[in-house]
Amino acid sequence: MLCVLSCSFFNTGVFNPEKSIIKINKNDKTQKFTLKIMKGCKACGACVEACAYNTLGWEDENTIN
Amino acid sequence: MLRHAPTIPLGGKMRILLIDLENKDFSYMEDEALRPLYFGGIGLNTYLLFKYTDTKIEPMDRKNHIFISSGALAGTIIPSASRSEITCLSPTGYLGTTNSGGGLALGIRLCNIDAVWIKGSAHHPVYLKIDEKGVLFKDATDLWGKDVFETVDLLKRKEGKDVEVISIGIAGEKGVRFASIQNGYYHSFGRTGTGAIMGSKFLKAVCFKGRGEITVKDKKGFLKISREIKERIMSSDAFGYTRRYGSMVVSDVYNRMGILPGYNFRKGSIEKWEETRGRRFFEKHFKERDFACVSCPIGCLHWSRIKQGEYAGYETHGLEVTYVFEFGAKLGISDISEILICVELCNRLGVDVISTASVIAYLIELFERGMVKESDIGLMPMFGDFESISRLIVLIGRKEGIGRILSEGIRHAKKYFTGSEDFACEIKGLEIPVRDPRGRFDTWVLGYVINTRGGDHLKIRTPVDALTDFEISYEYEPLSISEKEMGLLDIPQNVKDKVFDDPPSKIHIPNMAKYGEELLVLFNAFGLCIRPPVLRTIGPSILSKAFNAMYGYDLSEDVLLECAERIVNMQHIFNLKRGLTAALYTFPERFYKEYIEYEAGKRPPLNRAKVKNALNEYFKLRGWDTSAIPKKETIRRLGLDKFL
Repeated sequence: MLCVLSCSFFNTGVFNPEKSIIKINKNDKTQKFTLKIMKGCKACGACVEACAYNTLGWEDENTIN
Repeated sequence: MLRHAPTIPLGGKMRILLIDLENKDFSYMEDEALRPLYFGGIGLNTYLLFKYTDTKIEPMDRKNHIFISSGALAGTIIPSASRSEITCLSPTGYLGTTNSGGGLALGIRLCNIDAVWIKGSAHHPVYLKIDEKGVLFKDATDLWGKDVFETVDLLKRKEGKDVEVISIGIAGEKGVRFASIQNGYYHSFGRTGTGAIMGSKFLKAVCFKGRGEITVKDKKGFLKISREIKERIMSSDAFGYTRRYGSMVVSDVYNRMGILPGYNFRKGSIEKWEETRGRRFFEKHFKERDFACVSCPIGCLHWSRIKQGEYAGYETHGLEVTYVFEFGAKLGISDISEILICVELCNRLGVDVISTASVIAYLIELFERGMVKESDIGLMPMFGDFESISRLIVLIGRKEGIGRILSEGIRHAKKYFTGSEDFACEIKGLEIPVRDPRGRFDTWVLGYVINTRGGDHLKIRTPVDALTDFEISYEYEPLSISEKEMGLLDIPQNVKDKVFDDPPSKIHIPNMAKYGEELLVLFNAFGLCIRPPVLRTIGPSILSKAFNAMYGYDLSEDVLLECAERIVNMQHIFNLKRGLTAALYTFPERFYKEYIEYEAGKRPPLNRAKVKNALNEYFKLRGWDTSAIPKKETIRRLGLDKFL
């Protein structure tokens, strides 16, 4: 979730998962999750910097995946 | 007191949601003065417990309060700040406080609150739904009697799958003295029986689903310090192996050092340990992947799959080293699949893994000594026997048969078995976990006796813990971390001068115990995790920078440590008011009388006089007399006289 929190903090100045462009859909029982980057990503790179698990990276200089 | 939910997000003010179960009512208490003194988490909880809990009541009295607080830095990008604390008067009779990770701390803060204060008792089973607008009181009659997994399943179906749920199982409902509050499915507020207090209030569960937000005063400064923390954690020597093995990292080394709690603290090493319960064996045969708490870059948690045998195909969280030390060593179960099933039974019933394994180990030793018969128990209990151990877990959780006595905990159960006091392994009413104290007398082991919540290993730690063998002196332990790790340490110079010699080669145990206790209060108050990569690299100066940036204060590391010292003293005075005496600062007799066998030979029992000396030294450093009573000048210096 560091990517979600970073996204909202960089772009809106507060920690609020609802304001994040990244949405994580998590199943607490199986501890599996899917991650989606919604429309509106400015490719600021905050999430890539925050991610410690190599889940997020640069596809090219303007796109994160 | 506010009667309605404040619309502004959580800023510098401490905001506590007060819930009155009796009258199904709620209000908000706001206090700016509390923030720079008590921070959040265990700090805030201690203040509320100390100020508002009547020390004359029985733990199950409806006047007991439950305090649930998120750490002050939790819910942000401060790495590892995912933790929250639950505190109340424990069924042990003393301080009850317990810490857990996952997503709960963020869940609490998104309700625009720091903490929840639950008072009174409902008249029938209820659960609470909390969001940023307030509280809904909902009927839980259909949930009463359900296990934790069923409860969380149902609540996620009713209230939304992204809701954060804490709940109790059947054990909490029935008042098992070491019932846990489960945080989601797999995280636990395990120790000190807070689940029994929740059950006594007919409170089955609390759901958090807020849409609020968390603000920061100095955004630039906050970002800078969060980057520094991440860099420090990820460059720690401990980072790589903590991610790979999680807490299992110490499984093999404990066996080699002979400090396992084998068969109720009678064997320090166990044959074929590494081949059956070692970290590599676990990794190869069970571990599927890693996962993490919400704000954590380490990811020390594992997801496991049982591939063979009766439970083939079954998947769950684990293995944690506590599980393998408690069920694998203390109870001698050699098959990791069976250990995982025992833990799941505990999680579903809502009982503390450590206390449950401990009472069962105590019962088996009673049985081996002929002090209890098979006909009294209804089954034949044996170390290493999954069948009898799993049945006993269920009897304890449901308070049935022999479980009625065992569910009272070792301190109460031993009253029924005269002559068993020597091997009743508890301190201040709390069962002792994971490490045999005779293996090495260090900060950790002294921590067992001084811990304000009883026999436990999670509230006093040294940031320079190194697992090496050494000659026991009762005064010093060796310092053997790398130069790089020494460079990453964040310990104030005035503390370094006291705890290390010059140049640093050894650690003065009582001084480190005092500092380590205060450091962990800060970790628990700010919501950080105590895994080695964090504990070794983050200290009071970094924490003060993060706190100051978030809330706009200018607190120094010394002020933080003084606040922590005040919080420790408040917990201690609370215990004294509950009847705690210096005589209870002692190990069970087994550890003073018996040798312990391990792989490389035998170790002698603890030296009673030397333990006492170390304790007295600790009391002195705390400003307490030899009876553990804080001196007048200590009370005055910490400003606690106004409370007394």
